[in-house]
Amino acid sequence: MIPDPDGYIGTLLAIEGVSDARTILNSPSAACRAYPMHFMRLHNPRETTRKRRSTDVQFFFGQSRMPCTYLDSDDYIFGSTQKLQKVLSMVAGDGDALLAVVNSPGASLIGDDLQRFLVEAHLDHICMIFESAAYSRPFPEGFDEATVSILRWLRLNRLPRLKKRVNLLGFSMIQKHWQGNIAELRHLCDLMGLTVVAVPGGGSSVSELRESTTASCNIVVFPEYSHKTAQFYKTEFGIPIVYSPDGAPVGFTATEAWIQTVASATGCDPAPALAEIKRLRTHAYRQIALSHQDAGYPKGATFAIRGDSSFIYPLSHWLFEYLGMIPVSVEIMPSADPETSRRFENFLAANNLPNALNADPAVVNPDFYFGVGLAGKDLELSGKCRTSIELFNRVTSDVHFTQMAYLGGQGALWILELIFNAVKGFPE
Amino acid sequence: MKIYNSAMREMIHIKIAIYGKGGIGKSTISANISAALAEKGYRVLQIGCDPKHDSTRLLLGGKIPETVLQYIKTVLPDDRKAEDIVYRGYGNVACVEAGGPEPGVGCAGRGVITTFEFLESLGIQSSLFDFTLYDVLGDVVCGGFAVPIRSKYAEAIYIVTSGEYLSIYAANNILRGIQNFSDAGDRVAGIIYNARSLMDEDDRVTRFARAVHLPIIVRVPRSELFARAEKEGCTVIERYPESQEAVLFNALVEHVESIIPENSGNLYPALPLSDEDLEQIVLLRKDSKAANKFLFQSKKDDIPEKYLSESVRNKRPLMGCAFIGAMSVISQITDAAIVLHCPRGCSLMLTERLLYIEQDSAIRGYHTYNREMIGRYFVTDMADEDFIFGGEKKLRVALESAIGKGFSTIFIITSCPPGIIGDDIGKVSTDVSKCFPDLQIIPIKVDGNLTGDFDQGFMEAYRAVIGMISPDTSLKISRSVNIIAERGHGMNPEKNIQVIQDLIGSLGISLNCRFLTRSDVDSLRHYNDAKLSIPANQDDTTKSIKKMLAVVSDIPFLDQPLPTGFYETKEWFLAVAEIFGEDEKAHQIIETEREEYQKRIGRIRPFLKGKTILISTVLRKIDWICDLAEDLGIKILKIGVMNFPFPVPFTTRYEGRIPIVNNYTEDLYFDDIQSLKPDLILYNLHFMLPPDQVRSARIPMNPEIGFHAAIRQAEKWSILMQIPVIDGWKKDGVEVE
Repeated sequence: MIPDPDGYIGTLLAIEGVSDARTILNSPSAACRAYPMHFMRLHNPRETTRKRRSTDVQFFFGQSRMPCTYLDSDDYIFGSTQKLQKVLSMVAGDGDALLAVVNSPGASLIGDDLQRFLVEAHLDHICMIFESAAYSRPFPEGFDEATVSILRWLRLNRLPRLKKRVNLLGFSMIQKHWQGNIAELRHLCDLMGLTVVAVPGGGSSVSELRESTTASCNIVVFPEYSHKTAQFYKTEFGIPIVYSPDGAPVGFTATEAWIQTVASATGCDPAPALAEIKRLRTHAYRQIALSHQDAGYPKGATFAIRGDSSFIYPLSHWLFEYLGMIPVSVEIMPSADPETSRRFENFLAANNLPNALNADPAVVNPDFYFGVGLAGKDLELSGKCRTSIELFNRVTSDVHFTQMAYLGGQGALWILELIFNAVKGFPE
Repeated sequence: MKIYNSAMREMIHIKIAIYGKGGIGKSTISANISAALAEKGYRVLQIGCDPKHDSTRLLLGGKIPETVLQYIKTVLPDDRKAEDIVYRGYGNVACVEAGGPEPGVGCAGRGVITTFEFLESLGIQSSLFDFTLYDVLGDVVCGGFAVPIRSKYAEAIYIVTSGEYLSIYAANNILRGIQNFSDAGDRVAGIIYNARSLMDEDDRVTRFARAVHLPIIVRVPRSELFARAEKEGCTVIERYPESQEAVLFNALVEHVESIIPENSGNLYPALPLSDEDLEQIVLLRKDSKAANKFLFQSKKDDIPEKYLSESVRNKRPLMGCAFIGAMSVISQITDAAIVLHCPRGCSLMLTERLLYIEQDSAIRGYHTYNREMIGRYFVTDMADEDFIFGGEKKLRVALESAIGKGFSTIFIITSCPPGIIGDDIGKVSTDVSKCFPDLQIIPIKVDGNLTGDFDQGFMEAYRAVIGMISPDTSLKISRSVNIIAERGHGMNPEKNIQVIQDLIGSLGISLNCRFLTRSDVDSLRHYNDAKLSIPANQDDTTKSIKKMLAVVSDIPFLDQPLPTGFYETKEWFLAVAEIFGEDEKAHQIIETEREEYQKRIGRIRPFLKGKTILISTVLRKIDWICDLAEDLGIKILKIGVMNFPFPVPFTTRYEGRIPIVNNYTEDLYFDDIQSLKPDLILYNLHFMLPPDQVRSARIPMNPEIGFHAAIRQAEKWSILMQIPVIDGWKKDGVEVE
């Protein structure tokens, strides 16, 4: 069993997803710190220097991110107040716009009055507390709840909402190519004359989050990660929520639908963005036309897929209709969007594929596996699938120098590239 | 007296906590105060924070409501409503019970924290009420039970006490707790004296009150009326409104009203007494003699030996945790299940890394991919509710899953939360084992880092597995060895062990067991079948493991650890050969290897002869580098031995021939680079990265093994001498840095 990151990791990624925020872990210097720390270094590095801290430097122990209070058995009994005071005073002057102290699971049992320490350290104006952090709950829940907590803590001002300004909701570092995805959607919005104000949890700064209330609407790309965030904006600031009925813009079809939905919600002209997609479609057509008669063509290839409903539904739909690939195993991850899940199930049923739902990929032996990279490699190495394509980031993921995407037109091309290069190697 | 018409006047919003020793009558007093306040037209919320959850019983006609914690456990987040857990009691008092775990499990303090967070999330706020009363257990003022004292909650605190010493002791302890939150200003309203009609009781309480500078607000006499009202499930205020007791509570309520700011509320600082003063003042006892110490007569042998890591022994900051240390060891047992009793986040790092290593090394062709690894881990995914109610149920479920998958040996490894809340792993293991006679469940109760760091967990896991070794030596294989305490040598550990197997194989010796790497349960049990055990390393942890093994096994240990480089391997090989009477054969093999070694030295010597090296290391033995340097004509300018992380002394055969500096610091290191200008720097630690203008190479923490392991490192150095000193990309960093 390959465990998925939980709500605790989701909480930390939500905080670190604010570009000028810093997490301080009230935790041992152990796995509860090591995983998120290594994850950040790989997927959202902020270091600008090769010089590393010495392992003797208290609270950091050789790392640049996520200082921790290195709790031990004494601290669980007597509390961690002294260490917290020290680490807070150490990082307070580093210029972060937001500090967040997060309790590890064990620390949440101590019951220290963390808020009091913030007040005593005169840091309550820039530091917030997470006494508990969705331990063992699904990642998206922790991420979403933490995002709402951050927005609440910032006490956003009710600002005049301006036309042609939108926020993009639901992005997280856990998603493969998250930065490229955001860049791609910003580009599409730009083509429509829209300005993206903020992407909460997706790299926006505190000041951008403060400005987010000027958006005319919130475009929810991944509802699993942003349902509560969207509701928060709607309830507190009246900002309407926009969902594309076809899910996230994965593949040409869903991207076009997304463009239409966004344009309709904002009153913008979708034509330039649609023209861009058309251009990329044409390019894809030419590339595919070169190889569709040959052995390296994926029509009829089977695939297994595991991920968030809002992503895997449009992807599966597109692979089926665009390339003639068949889903033989579909697993929707927890915290699914109910409407999208329902549409997905209907799609499978309508195409005589109901058995694909929750089928074990190790049994159905698909040609392709889309999902967690380790699970995919496991199937490949066991001879149970031919090739795997990673949809999520992990501490074991590859390093990327170029910025790829899975969303939008460029994302569709990248997916096609992965598929066609893999299929080339399939024996006839 | 003002009569407040709740419909007409502005709301007040006062929050009051009532603390006292368990059984002192807080709940009775709280309920009567709430009833009296309600009678006066105030809107009142009473929150019971005692796990017994009977605080509001007298307001609810004797009924016990569903508790917040039980509600959270059973109702999905989207379905939760305030109306489900707030009950309407006498006088429209809103009643809430926090609840708590069953006695003996979980963490009630955590439960209180969760309750308060939950009430806020549902919008059950003090702002809806004139008075909010928190009825709180005062025996334990840990973080959780102190939540009502936090500044954002109680603005005033009453302490209930009788004249019994332990009750006053608890009252004093509560004052200590309040004092820790003194930033919120003076908040003690006074003492509510719940008399027991004991001799001298009034004087005791009076002396205590004077000493801590607190008023006794009211003396509630012992009265049958309270028992009668309780029997009927109601307060005295409700049932006997004209009674003297009801008059007392109305007077108490007048004092509560005086806390209202516009009445310039009367609140006092918390000034607890020391234990000695408390005893002297309350009991009029002065005993300055120290308590006598208990003398133990047990023999040293009766005390089980403790194996403590260096960091634990010296109370240094713990790096890593015992949970991961234990997991890293047990994951090497190829046919055992591992139940990780922990929240999900604790298990992620190592499970992903281990799987990645398995896959990556299989892709590189080091071994055949073992898919079984994925199916051996079972994580209990402890969540908030398990911290409150205990995680044993989930542990049972995980064990049953492992059994269902056919595992007959199951290890349980615990992280911090189950240790803190006191989950009884042993009991669960015993209960489950009873149903499966052939099953072996082995708990490794490291409790995260409560027992120590990574190395501590490493040793605890070894200890657990050593307990499985069979004492039976009837199947002894006279020409076989064990290798113990491997830590993953080089880039390809399997290839390295193959080197050793080939070497000993050339002497007709087989490998009995790798204790503990890629071994199955059966081979570990048969540890005693071998004639000799070879340690992989010589570090502190290995020494402890050897001691543990010596308790269950007579197998001798080879003095030398697994060797790196020609010289060390030669010595090691001869030592092994001597034990098995194969000296002659060994010498022949060594000569063959020497020829190969000399050839390889000859190939790279032109690039390295005359070069100078500066070494910065945390390792305590690096003679393989010194040997290489000598063979290659390299001059070692200095060996700087850094302190982290081991206090074990540095040893070398080259003592007196190479300058060695102990307690080597970063400053000394960078000074030496400037002054000595070495051609090559060898270092261990990432933050000792040399300047770009100097060639450098990392010294592996676990170098490869065998005759030619060292020469491979030198071959890398020779390549360094042929390529540009500064990698082009680094020049781009001038602006970035």
